[in-house]
Amino acid sequence: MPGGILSFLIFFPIISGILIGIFSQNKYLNVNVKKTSLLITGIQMILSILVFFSYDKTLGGFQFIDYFDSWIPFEAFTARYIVGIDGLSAPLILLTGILGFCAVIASMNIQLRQKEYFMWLLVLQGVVTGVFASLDLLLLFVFWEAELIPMYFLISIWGSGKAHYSAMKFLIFTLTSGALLLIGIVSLYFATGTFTMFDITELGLYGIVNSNFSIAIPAIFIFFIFFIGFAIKLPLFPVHSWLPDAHTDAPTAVSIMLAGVLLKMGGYGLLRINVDIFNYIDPSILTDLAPYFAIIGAFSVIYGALLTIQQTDLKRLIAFSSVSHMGYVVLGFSSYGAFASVGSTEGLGGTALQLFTHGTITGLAFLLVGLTYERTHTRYIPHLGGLVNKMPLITTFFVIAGFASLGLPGLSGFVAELMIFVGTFKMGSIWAISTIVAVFGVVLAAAYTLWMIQRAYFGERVQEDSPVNFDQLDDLNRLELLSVLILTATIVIVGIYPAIITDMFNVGVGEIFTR
Amino acid sequence: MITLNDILLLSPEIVLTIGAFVVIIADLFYSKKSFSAVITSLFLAISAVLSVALTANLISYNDPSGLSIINVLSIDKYSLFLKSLILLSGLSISLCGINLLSKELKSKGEFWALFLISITGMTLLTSTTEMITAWVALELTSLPVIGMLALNQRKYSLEVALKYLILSATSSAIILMGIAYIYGVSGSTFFSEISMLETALSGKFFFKDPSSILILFGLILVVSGASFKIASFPFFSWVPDVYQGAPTIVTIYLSVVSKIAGLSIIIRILFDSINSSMINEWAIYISIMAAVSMTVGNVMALRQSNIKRLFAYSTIAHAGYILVGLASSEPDSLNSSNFAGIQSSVFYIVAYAITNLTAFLSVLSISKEINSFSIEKYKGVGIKLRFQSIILSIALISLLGIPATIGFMGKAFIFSSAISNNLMWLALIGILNSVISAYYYIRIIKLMFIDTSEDQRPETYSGDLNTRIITSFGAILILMFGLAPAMLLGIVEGVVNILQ
Repeated sequence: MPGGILSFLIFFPIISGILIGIFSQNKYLNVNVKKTSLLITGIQMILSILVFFSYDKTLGGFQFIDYFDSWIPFEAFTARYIVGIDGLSAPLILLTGILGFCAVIASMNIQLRQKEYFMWLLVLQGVVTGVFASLDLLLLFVFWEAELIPMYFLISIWGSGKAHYSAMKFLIFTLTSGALLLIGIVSLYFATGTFTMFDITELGLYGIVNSNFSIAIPAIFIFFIFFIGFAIKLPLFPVHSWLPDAHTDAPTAVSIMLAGVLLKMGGYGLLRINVDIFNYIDPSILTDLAPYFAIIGAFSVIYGALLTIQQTDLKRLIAFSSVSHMGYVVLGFSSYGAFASVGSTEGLGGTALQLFTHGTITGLAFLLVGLTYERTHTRYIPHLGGLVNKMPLITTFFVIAGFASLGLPGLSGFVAELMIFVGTFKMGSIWAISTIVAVFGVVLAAAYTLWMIQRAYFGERVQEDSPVNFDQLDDLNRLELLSVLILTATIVIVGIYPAIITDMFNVGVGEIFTR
Repeated sequence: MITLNDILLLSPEIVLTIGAFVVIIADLFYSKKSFSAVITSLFLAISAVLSVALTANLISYNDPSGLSIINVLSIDKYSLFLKSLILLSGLSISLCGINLLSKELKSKGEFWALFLISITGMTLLTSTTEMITAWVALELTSLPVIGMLALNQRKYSLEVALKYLILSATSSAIILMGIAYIYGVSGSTFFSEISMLETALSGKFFFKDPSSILILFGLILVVSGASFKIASFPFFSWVPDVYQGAPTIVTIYLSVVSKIAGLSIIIRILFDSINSSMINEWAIYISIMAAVSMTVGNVMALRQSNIKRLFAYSTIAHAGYILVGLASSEPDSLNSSNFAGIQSSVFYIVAYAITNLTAFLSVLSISKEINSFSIEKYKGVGIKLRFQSIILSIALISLLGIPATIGFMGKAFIFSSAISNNLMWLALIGILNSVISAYYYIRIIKLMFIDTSEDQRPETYSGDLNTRIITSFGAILILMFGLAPAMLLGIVEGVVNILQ
C-alpha cells in the first residue's frame, strides 16, 4: 500500500464531509449527498479491506506508519502526529470501514437536513478511524474527544424519543471518560517522558529522557484512571446507564456506529493501554487486580442479560444485550496473567475478537431493527408479530444475527466467546468460577434472543390495537440487501474460518508479551 | 533623561493618549453617528501596529533584557506581547462598535475617549515594574470604565456604575494596603528590590521572621485586589450584575481586555517580585483562588437564563483555569525543561482572548438582531442567522475545550502543568469543572441548531460586516491554533522567559 494510506483513511471522510456540509447545495451546485456519501464510504471500505490484507503478519509490529514530528515540538511537552496499525488495530480499522458503509446505506431514508446529517456521519467515521490508528496518546485523545460533537448532533437532531436528553447524557458520560483519560495520559507522560505508545512500551517507566519528568504518581492510580475512563465507554456495569438511552433514541445509522465501533474504543483502550502499556510499566498491577475484573466481567454479563430479558422495545433490547456482551470483554481482559502462568493468550485474543464480532453482529441487528422500524413505525414488541410473512428476508437475516449473538457454532460470536471462556477457565480459582457464571450468560442470551425473534417476527399475527399496517410492509430493497449481506458474510466467514481475524489479533496480542 | 528611543518605545501609549483628546475635540465639531468610533479604531490600529512591530523587533533580535524607562516601566517582550494582545482586542471591539453601538449611547465622543484612556492604563499596566506605578495604572483602567458604564440610556446603568465604583474602590484600597505592608518591610516598592530582600530572608524559619510573613501577607492583599480586574475569587461578586447591566461593548471590554491586563500585572508581581523561595507559600493561595473561581463560575452558570449573565459566570471559571497554570509553577521551573505553568497560563490567556472575543462579538451581533439576551430566544437562531451561529458554536466548543480548537490546547497545557507540578487535586477539580461546563455551553448550541422555532424563514440578516469579518478571523485562529499550536506556543515560550 502507498504511504499515507492511514492518514488518507482518517482525513478523507472528515474533509469530504465538511465540504459536503458547506458546499453541496447552493445556488451553483446541487450534489446528491446520499450518493456522494455512499461513494466516499465505499472507497473507505475498499481501502480498509486492502489495508487489512496488506498488513504483513510475518513482519508484525506497527506498519503503515505516517508521522509528522513537529505537531507540538517542545522539549517539555512533545506530542507527535503519528499513526500506524498493528495486529490489534488492523481488524478494528476494517470494522470501521465496513460499518461506515453500512451506516450510510441505513441512512438512505433520511429526509431532514440531509447534508448536515451526512457531514456529521462522515466526520464521525474519520474521527473513529483516527482513534484506532493513533500511536500518540495525545493524538488518540484528540480523536477520542472530537467524536463527541458529531455524535451529539446526530443523536439529538435525527434521534427519536427523548433524543435531547439521551444526547446530553451521552455527552456528559463521554466527557467524563475523556477527562479521566486526559489525566491518565498526562500523568503517563510526566512519568515516562513521551506520548508515543511504542516508546513507552519499549522503554518503560522512568526509563527515558531525563529525570526531570518523573513525578510521584503511583502507577496503580494511573491504571485506575484509565480503567474507569474506558469502562464508561465500554460500558461496564455501574457506568453503563448512558448506553440504552443513547442507543434507543439514536437514528439507525448512529446506533450501528455506536454499537459497532464506538463501544470498541473502550475495549481497544483497555487492551492497548491497560494491558499493553501497563504490562511494561508494572505487570503486578494487572495480575493483582485480575480476579476482581473477572468478577466484575461475569457480573456484568449476567446483569446485562437479565436486564435484556425484560425489555419490550426491540432496539432497547439489543442495546442492553451490548452491556452483557461487553462483560465478556472485561472477563477476557482479566485473563491477562495467563501468558505468564499457562503461556497462552486465548483470553486476550478472544477479547479482541469479541470486539470485532460484536461490532458486526450488533451492527447487523441494529440495521435490521432500523429497517423493520422504518416499515412498521413501532418497535414495541407486543405490537409486532407475524412479520415473517411480509418480510421474509429481514426475518431470515435477523435470525442469523440472533444466532450469532447467542453464540451458535459456525457463526463468529461462538469463536470469540469460546476463546474467552477457554482462556479464562485455564487460570483456575476465581477465574474458573467467574467463567462458569458467565457461561450462563450464553443461556440467557439464547433465551432473550429467541424469545424476541419469536415474539416480534414469528408468533401471532397482529394484535387488535397494533398500529402496524400489515398490508403495506415490504421487504429489503437491493441496496439494503447489499449492506445486510456484507455484514452477514463477515459473520459467517469469521465463524467458519476464524483464523482470518484471529491470526491478526494473535500477532497483536502476542507482541504485547514478546515485544 | 528621556531619549528619543524611549519615546519610540512608549509610542503605543502616546498615540492612544493623543487619540483620546482628538476624539473628544472632534466630537464637538462633528458628531455624526459613528464618527468617534471610527477615529478610535484608527488610533487603536496605529497603536496596535506600533506595538506589534516593537514586539516583532524584540522577539526577532531575541533581546533578553528588555528596556527600562525611568526605572518604573520595563518595555520587554512580555509586556509588548500582552500589550499587542490588549490593543488588538480593543481594536476588534471598537471596530464592531462602529455599527453596533450607535443607538445605545448618549454621548459617543466621551465614551470612546474614556475607552482609549482605559486602554492606555492597561497597556501601561503590562510594563510596570514598581508597585505605585502599577496602582496608578490600575486606577487609570478602572475609573474610565465607571464613566463608560454610566454613559448609556439603559435602566440599570447608574446602579451598575455605582456597584462597579464601590467594589473597584475597595479593591484599590486593598491593593494599597498590601503595598504599604510590603513597603514597610522592604523599604522599597520596586519589584526587583523586593525580590532581593526575599532572597536575604530565604532560609529563615517562617514564623521566627515576621518580615517574611508580612511580605507574603502584603503580596496576597495585592493579588486579591487585582483579582477584581480578572474577575476571580475573592472579588467576583460584581461580575454578573455588571456584565448584565452594562452595554454589551463594555461587557466584552471588561471580560476580555480588562482580564488580560489584570493577569499581566498579577503574573509580573508573582514572578518578578516574589522570590522563588516563597513560591510554595503563595502557590497554595493561588490554587485556592483557582479552585473556588472554577467551581463557583461553572456551577452558577448552569442555571442562567440571560446569555450575558451566563458568560459572566463562565469568565469567572476561565479566570480560575488561568490561575491553575500560575499555581503550578515550580521554583526555577522557567530554567529547567519542565513544562512551566506560566507558559500554559499565557497560552491560555491568548486562547481565552481570541475565543471569548469571538463568542461575545457573535452574541452581540445575534442579540441585536433577535433583540434579546434571553437564552431561550436563541431557539432556531442557527437557521435564521446561520453564519454567525456557526461562528458562535465554534467559539463555544473552544470555551468548552473540545479538541481541534485552541481552547482544548489551552486546557491540555494548563492541566498538564498542574499534574507535572504535583497538583493532581487541582487538575482533577479543573477537569471535572470543564465537564460540568459542557451542559451550559452545549445548551446554547442545542437551542440554536437543534430546537426549531416557529419562525423558519431562511437567513434574513447577514449581520454587521465588521463583526462578520472579525469573528470569522477569530474562528479561523481558534481552529488553526487548535490543530497546530506549535507556532503560538513557541512565541509564548520566548515571551515568558523574560520573567525571573
